[in-house]
Amino acid sequence: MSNTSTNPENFNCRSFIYRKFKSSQVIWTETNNYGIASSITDPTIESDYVQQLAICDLSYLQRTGFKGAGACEWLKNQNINIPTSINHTLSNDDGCLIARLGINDILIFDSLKNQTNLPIKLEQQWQYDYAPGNKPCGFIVPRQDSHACFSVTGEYAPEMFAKLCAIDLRVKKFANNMIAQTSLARLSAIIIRRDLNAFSNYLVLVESASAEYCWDCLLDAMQEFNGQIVGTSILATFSK
Amino acid sequence: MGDNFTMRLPKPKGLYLDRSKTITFVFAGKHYQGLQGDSIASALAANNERLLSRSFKYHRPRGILTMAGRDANTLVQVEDEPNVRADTYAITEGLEVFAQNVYGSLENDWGRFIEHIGRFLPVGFYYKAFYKPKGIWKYWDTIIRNFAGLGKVDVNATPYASDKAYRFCDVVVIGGGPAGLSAALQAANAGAEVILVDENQLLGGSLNYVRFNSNNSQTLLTREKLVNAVTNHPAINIYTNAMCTGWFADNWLAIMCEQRMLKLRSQVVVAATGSIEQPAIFRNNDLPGVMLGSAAQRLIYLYGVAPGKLAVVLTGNDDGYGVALDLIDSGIEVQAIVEMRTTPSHSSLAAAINAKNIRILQGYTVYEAIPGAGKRSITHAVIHQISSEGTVNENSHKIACDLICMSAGYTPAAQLLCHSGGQLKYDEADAILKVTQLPAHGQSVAAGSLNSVFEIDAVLADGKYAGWLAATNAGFPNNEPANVPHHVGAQGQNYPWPIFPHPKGRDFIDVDEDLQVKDIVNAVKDGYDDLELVKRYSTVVMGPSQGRQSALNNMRLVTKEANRSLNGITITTQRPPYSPEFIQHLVGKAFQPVKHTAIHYRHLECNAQMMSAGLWLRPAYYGNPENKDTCIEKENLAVRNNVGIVDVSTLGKLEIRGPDAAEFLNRMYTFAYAKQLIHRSRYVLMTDSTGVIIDDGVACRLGEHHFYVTATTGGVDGVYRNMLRWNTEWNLNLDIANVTAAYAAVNLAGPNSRDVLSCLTDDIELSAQQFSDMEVRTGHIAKIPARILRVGFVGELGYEIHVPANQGEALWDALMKTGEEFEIRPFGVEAQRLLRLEKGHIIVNQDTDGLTIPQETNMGWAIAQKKPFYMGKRAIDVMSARSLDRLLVGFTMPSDAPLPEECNLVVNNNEITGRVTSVAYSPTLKSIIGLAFVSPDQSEIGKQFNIKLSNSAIVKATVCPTPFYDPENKRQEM
Repeated sequence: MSNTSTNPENFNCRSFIYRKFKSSQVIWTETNNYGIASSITDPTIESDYVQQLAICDLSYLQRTGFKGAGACEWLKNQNINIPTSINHTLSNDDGCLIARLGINDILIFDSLKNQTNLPIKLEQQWQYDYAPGNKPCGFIVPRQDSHACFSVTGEYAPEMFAKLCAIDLRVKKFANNMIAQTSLARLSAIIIRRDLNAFSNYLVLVESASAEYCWDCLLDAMQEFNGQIVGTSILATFSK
Repeated sequence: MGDNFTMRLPKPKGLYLDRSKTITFVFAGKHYQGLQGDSIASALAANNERLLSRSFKYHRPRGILTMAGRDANTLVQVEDEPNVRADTYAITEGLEVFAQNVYGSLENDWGRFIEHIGRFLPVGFYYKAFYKPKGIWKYWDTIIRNFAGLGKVDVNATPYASDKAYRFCDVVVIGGGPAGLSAALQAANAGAEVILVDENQLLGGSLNYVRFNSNNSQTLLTREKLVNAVTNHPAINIYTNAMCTGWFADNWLAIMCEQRMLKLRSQVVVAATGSIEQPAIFRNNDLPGVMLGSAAQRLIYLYGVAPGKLAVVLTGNDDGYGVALDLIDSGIEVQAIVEMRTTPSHSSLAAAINAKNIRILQGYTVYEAIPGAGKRSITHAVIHQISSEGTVNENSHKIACDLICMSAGYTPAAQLLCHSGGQLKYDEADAILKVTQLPAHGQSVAAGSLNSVFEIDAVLADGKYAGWLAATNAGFPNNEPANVPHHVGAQGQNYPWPIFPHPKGRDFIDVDEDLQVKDIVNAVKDGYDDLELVKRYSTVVMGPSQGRQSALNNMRLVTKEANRSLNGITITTQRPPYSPEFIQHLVGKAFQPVKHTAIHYRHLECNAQMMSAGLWLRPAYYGNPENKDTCIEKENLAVRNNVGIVDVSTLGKLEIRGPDAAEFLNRMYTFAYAKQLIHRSRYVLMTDSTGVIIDDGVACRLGEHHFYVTATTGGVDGVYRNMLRWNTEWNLNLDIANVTAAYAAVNLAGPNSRDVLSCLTDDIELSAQQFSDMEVRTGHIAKIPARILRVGFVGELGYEIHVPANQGEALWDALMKTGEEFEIRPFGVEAQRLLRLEKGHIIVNQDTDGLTIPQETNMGWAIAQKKPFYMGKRAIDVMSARSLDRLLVGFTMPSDAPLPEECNLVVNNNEITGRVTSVAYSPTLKSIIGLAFVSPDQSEIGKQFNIKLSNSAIVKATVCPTPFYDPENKRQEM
């Protein structure tokens, strides 16, 4: 394991790819009961990387899902902004990201910049209380564990994705806040464009069991463009 | 060293050349020099070396024919790469080029003697010989394959795959000639995002080498203007040296670049692929020195090489005059223009020739080329006057020459169009194939000579119109009106019958396959009178050039011999690829998803030998492979006598939630779930509508309206799809979620498992009274939220613990650490399978097959007979009323008997009555145990049946009741 202030194996929650960080310069910090690679190298260098092409493991990022009849209504009642169209995202007032995957299928991410714990709070508030006449309120979907989450940033990201995915993800065709539920390197994937300030940024969610495979595929495709791994801190810096 | 640069022309000829860089390379063992930008063939031609290869069948000398990578004459071996097109492959310093398909050397190929027995190799000789006596083909097969040499593959080469990439655009233009450039510019100006693909290294197409008028300066200006405009246009993305090899549904095009294959999606396709010049047919029309007029022009303009010294131009259109002018301008003496047409041309090109007092033989043809030494060149053209279609008068005269250029007409390069539904038909009036149907339902346009437009101004206008139409169809209408260009079409471009059979033959219609006129005539006489049949019988158009130079003349000849009209005839089927493709490009990166459980690396650290289970990797056993049996035995005994742990994260996991959840399970599975108690689990067995077992697992009732259901590792995706599909039909009030990857799971099993677990939880009462077999609890293990199931798949006290996947490794760590004092042992899939076999539990798809119904496996107990419906009920009811053909039974064999293998047959005398589905040596029971399908009359307890081993030996097995181990279930109910 790398030179760290924190060992990721000290925590019960572990990213599906934490072993992939082998650089001796990795700085591990604690977030959400995870040890996360917050920095891989010098921040100014990482800053350049994210503008060109970089990947970051966001598996630690709090997220949850609500699905089924009544899910959207219940979330609206919790003051969550729900995108009006499927395959679009919205920012909640607190900076959390709300992604609508289907008519009654919502995916909620915590803010990258300021931890609000909204996903956990919503899970705690949700109670299934069925009785004839009661309004349905959907069901929780364990998105934290069902999916790994990576962030791919930078100018060359669309060209890199074109090696793995049949959807046109170029910035002029795939607008900010759009979602593609597609196949990436033959894996089912959810790709969300969520720019960081002026940088193109794509959240990639794949089944957690295939996280390593997907990470390796992305890194392999990124090589052509000198893509690099960056820590979570630099993304938070650029996050709105 | 060759005759260095004797044929090299001065600037400005040689568009591709960088004259400051000289390159040395080796061809057929000799060193040559060329210039940067030369192809192998052009560099050799500059050295006055004309012999490039030997023909496929007769090993006749061959040289440049098209200079466009469109014929088999230029196939050579470049280092370890066979079948390289020498006329387009650029030389590099030190490049080693070999002749292929030669015996001895290229110059003295003893294979040429095959030509002397050519009359014994008539068309279709494959089908007429080699089949008698029976079995003789094996003998001939080797000989014929040795003769059919097309280079050598390095079988020791390291495979390499280049990654593919998608590209997207509004309009793609295939072909960077005058029509393509105009189209791209027009579409881009309208606002469309355009990709322009061209196979050559420089844009311009025919503008780079064709003389459209007597004063060619205007053509060069047009080229410069267009290329500059296209190159500098921000909305045009240019791919040169890129070949579009296939056009598929929904405008999906395969583009082969040097480094990779591009998978291009475009809203609209503009096909501006041009046309392919066609040869004339006369005796020895295949020898070095006989080439297409456009090949000579390519040599001159692109490579700065004089194609000969003394030329005869055979023409049937005005382009031949342009060729002659280019030859004259290059210092080549044009002896005569042999004009097949009877009426003199009034074109500006013909006027320019007349002004130069070049002899024009009107109404004549070249009837024969006289070969030089070893047929490696030509010395004369034999000229006859044409008497009628395909025949000549007897009088002849010879004209000395070392070069015959042929301009007999064109055929559209429409192969790509045809890949995707386009059609060509022969137009007898213009003696040319014309595009009569475009693919892609209006989302494609043809332009330029592909579209039967040949005059340069008309071509430019046609391209512009195509660009306008493409942009409009792609959603970018522009104000400029759609001016459909006026032109004369293909009138006068093709001489209608440039085929002059010679009594002595060697009048090649397909140089790839060494097919002469008589071969095609005889094929029709043999009864193969359809183009597709002639193609297969004679192999015409099946060679490397895929009929580019032979399809048109073959079509003419076949229809004539078959007494059919040419008008409206279409070509044989065109299939991708249009041009050869590298396998490394096609392969791309092999994306093979792999799934790891959260505990994967812990298994590797414990020296697990991993095995595939669908996409998952699972530990088969822990330890060295040479001690496999011992490892499995130790793992087995650890579970039976102490405590073991197995990673079962790969199990399918489904959340079924909602007021109709129990009703849904009642319909999907054979058992009954409506009255299942909360915190209890129950076996689930799924059958399909034909009553066949397709999956099993356990349903845990976590709440009145909440079931957590497990499924098999390989079956869960199908089960989930099935559930979604049926609930779409039933519209029950519930939600189904596949949470397989969201939960990691381990099975802690063995008499000491409770002791281990009790150290790690303070909110779950683990005593047998509080938490009995088949019950379910939620709580925390090592502070990790968990669902705990008491299930007995391996037949011992056991706890299946399901936790959020990101905490799976932490759970494993905690259990292993706590289990240290109990000498806990991880066990793998092999031990798990043995343990369950000892308990007589089946594995779906191992102990069942695509026809197994529950009754055959004695699982009638898992069917709720009183339910009005479940999936497969009707079929099972019907089949239950019939007698069964087979039954799954347990069997034992003595420990010292030979161990059968799974799928060994159960036989009764010589009749197959069943098969072994599972078998192993049980270290606990000290005997061989197994499950097997047998006939009902063999199924009685205590009866013996025969198993035929893989080595055909017969062993006896005895039917016994299952479970083999702990039939009272006392162990798992502890």
